[in-house]
Amino acid sequence: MDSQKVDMYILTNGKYFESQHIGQVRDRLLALDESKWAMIQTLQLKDPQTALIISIFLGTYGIDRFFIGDTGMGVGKLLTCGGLGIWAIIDWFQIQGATRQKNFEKIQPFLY
Amino acid sequence: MRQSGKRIYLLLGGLALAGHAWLLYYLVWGGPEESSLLACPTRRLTGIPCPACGTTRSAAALSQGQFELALWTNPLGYLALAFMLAIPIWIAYDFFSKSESLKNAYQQAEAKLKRPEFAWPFALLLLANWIWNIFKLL
Repeated sequence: MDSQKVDMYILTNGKYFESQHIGQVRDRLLALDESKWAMIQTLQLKDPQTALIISIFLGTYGIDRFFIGDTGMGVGKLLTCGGLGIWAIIDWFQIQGATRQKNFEKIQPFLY
Repeated sequence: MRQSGKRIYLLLGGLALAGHAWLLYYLVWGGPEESSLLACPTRRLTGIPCPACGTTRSAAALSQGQFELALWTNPLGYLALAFMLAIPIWIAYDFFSKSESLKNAYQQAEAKLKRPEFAWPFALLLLANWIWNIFKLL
C-alpha cells in the first residue's frame, strides 16, 4: 500500500495501539493489498481514553470491560461488586493498555 | 497480553481462590452486617446496594445449610458457590488430563454472551435482581 496513506493512518490511529505494536502495524499495512484499505479504514477501534473514563465511573459494574469486548471479565467484575472494589481500582491502571491490546487483536485478521 | 490459555486459568483460579478466602474471612471474623456492607464500594459510597450485594451473605448461608435464606438474600450466592467449587476441580481435571476444556468453555461462553439473544436475558435478569436488592435493602 502507498506509504503516504499508511503514515496518515498511523498518525490518526496511533493512539489506539501500544507503541511497541505500531511498527508492526505499519509494516503489515505497507505490505497489504490496496483492496483491503477500505476495510482497514472503516474498522471500529475503541478509544483508550473513553475506556478510562468508563472505568473510573462504572468500573465497579464491569462496564469498561464490556465496552472493550472483554465480556468474561466484565461479568466477573459485575458479579463481585468490582472484585470488592479492588479489581475495579486495578483496572483504572490496566484498562488503557487492555483497550490498545484489544484493538491490536481486532486489526490482526485484516493484516494477515 | 493476548487472552491466552494461561491468563484465563489464572483469572478463573484466582477468582475462585479469592472467593474462598473472602468467604472464610467472613465466616470466621466477619460480623453479620458491618463487614459485608463495607465490602461493596457502591454500597459504602451511595448506600444503594449493587447488583451483586448479598452474594457473600447468601454463600455463607448456603455453606451453613440455610438454602431458603440464601435464595431470599441473593440467588447469585448459589452461582458464586457453584463457581467456587467447580472451578478448582475443573482446573485440576484440565491439569491432569492435559486438556484445555475450561479455556474453550470460557471462550465459547464469552462469545455467546456477546450475542443479543443471550446478552439481553442476562442483563434483564441481573437488572431484576438489582431492583429486588434495592427493595430488600441488602
